[in-house]
Amino acid sequence: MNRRLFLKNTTLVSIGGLLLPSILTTNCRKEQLLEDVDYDGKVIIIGAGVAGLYAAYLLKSKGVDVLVLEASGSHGGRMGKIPGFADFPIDSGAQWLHGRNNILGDLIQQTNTTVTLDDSDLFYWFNNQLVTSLPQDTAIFEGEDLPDISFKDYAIQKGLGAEYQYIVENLAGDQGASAATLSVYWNNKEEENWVSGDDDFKFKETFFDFIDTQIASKVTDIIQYNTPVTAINYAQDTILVSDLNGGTHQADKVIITVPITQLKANKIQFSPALPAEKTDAFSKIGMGAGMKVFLKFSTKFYDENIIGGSVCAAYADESVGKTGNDNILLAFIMGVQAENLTALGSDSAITTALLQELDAMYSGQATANFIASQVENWTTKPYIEGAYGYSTVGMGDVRKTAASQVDNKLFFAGEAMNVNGHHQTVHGAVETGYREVINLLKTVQK
Amino acid sequence: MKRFFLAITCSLCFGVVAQKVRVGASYTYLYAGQWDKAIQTYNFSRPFLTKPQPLLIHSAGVSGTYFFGDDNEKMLKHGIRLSYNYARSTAENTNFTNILQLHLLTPGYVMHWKIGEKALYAEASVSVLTSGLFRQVNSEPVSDDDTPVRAFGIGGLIEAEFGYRKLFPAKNSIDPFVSVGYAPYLFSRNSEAVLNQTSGLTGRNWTGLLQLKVGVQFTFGVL
Ligand SMILES: Cc1cc2nc3c(=O)[nH]c(=O)nc-3n(C[C@H](O)[C@H](O)[C@H](O)COP(=O)(O)OP(=O)(O)OC[C@H]3O[C@@H](n4cnc5c(N)ncnc54)[C@H](O)[C@@H]3O)c2cc1C
Repeated sequence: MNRRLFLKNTTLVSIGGLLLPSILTTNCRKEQLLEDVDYDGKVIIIGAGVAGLYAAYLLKSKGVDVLVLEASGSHGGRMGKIPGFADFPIDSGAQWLHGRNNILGDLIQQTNTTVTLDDSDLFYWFNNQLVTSLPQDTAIFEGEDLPDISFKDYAIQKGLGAEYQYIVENLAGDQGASAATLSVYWNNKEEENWVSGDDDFKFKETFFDFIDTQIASKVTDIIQYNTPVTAINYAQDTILVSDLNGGTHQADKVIITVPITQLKANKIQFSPALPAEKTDAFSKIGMGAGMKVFLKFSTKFYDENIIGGSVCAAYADESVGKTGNDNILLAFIMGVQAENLTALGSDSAITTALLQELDAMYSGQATANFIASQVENWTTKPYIEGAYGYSTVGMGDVRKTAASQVDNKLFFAGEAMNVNGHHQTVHGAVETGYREVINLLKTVQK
Repeated sequence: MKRFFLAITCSLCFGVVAQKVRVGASYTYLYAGQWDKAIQTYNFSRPFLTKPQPLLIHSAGVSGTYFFGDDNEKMLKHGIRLSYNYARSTAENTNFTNILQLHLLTPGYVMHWKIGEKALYAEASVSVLTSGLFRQVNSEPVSDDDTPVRAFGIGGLIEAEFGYRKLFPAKNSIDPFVSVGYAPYLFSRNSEAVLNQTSGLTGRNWTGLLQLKVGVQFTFGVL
């Protein structure tokens, strides 16, 4: 190439370079965010619930040095499995996948996991009768111009009389709350962001097995069990995490995934103290009582779903979507009803109260056919102490503040920290797990 | 979808019979920052999928333009244009083939200038950019309760085009062209639900959409 030609060519190339926006160069349009993760710091994740497990799985897969500190002796948090109670596997915590248009829906498809749509029939216990429909429309808690008052007050305002009390309690219970504490406005506003779909799916095995096999099994080697964290000192560059056993762990970044009950109750001491607006945000996110009671009967005398009991507003046939012969009825008890049953003080008293209610509904068949019960009270489980986060009256838009990072060192994940309407769910917790991994890695991106 | 194609076919057929009608085919390089972020987040969050989802970059399109007036001597002409573009992103993983499909329909107003006595021309256009974003998993449209999960968007597109007119035969012309366009573009909250199955995770629900286009057009009648 002679000099003139060389000059001409290089000029053309440089003009081309100027004209072509940088976006055209493949380097700038990477298919993956943080494609080259090159972080040699140490990350500690507190809590081995699904949010912590997913964050650990992701960080480990990116080659980051990560340790999970779990207070209890097992992983899964509000997910678990009850072995041996029935001839099919049972979830002690989360059991329905709420919609498939989410990350877990993709994982189910990719792993060929069997799930079935739960479209079982609804029956209502209304005016001391079992009916298939209600005289008045109860779908009043979504739409425009809703007030920031409780479900209970709004139901009264809208003319739903005392006979609807436990129907409304069931609607609030679905959100893990009591009708007296759940905000119509904030619940609806947060639900508006829900995009994962309205169908509910049940796992042939358990939801816990799915998470255990697909996610937890990849990180069990980096979980330190029976290690309740009591304090986090993030005053210096190196963060010091202290546990109840007297151990101290050093980290550069910490992801906190404990239930909101633990943060509200200051179970972990932060030093310096967390910003006041953050602790205020924690205090405004609700998390009520919750329990599941499994009742085993010799015959299936009950309907698939019974809504509106005064002791338990939601019973569901546990065998739907399962292969087995045992007749198991689930009592799904949330909010004030879970508080009332917990106050009875023993599993047998709880079982008796439920059997009495079912006897009234089914002419004494419950007690006559009763075999055994299993009570899973999440309110009394240490390190959990409740069901899931709900939207309280007067809450405001606090979830973003609650979930915001502190000093580029502390990151907050977990179901209640989901800001896009998927709080209260397993897939919502997973989303916060990867969201915070992204936020964390962005702070160290070179 | 059928209606899109009907509209395109109509405009093409129209071109064959009418004067001063132009039809074209083009390749477009697309850049929409927020969509990139949403797809990148999808890829980052799913280490269980080995093949990443490609960004929505490459699109193919057709267009039909109708110019008003018969005066060939005029340096400035006006017209209306309808363009349709299609972009697709496919990632084939074991048991899991994820396809994103983007349809863009752009009706607009065009101003056409002859540049001097040369066969060059310049065009400026303003258009309404409408889009539909769809997702398929394993060849099935993703749906919830039998309703497909999809997202729509709308924006205002400004475009500048430069082309070269080569008569073919004497009364018609073939016009290779390049164009650049920018659209501030508002998309429904559902877009992230289609791209990465969340909402609000990657931030705002508007983006700047940049289009770089190369193509060729056939003009019936001399402009
Ligand atoms: C009865 C019930 C039924 C549910 N049903 C469904 C359902 O059907 N579908 C659905 O999608 N969701 C359901 N959920 C909600 C779902 O279970 C949760 O949203 C999700 O599991 C929360 O995950 P997480 O990681 O945020 O928190 P968690 O699972 O609570 O994990 C937090 C972990 O932190 C640990 N921890 C706490 N304190 C400390 C400490 N100081 N130091 C170290 N570790 C600590 C805990 O032991 C726990 O393992 C249900 C929940 C309940 C209680």
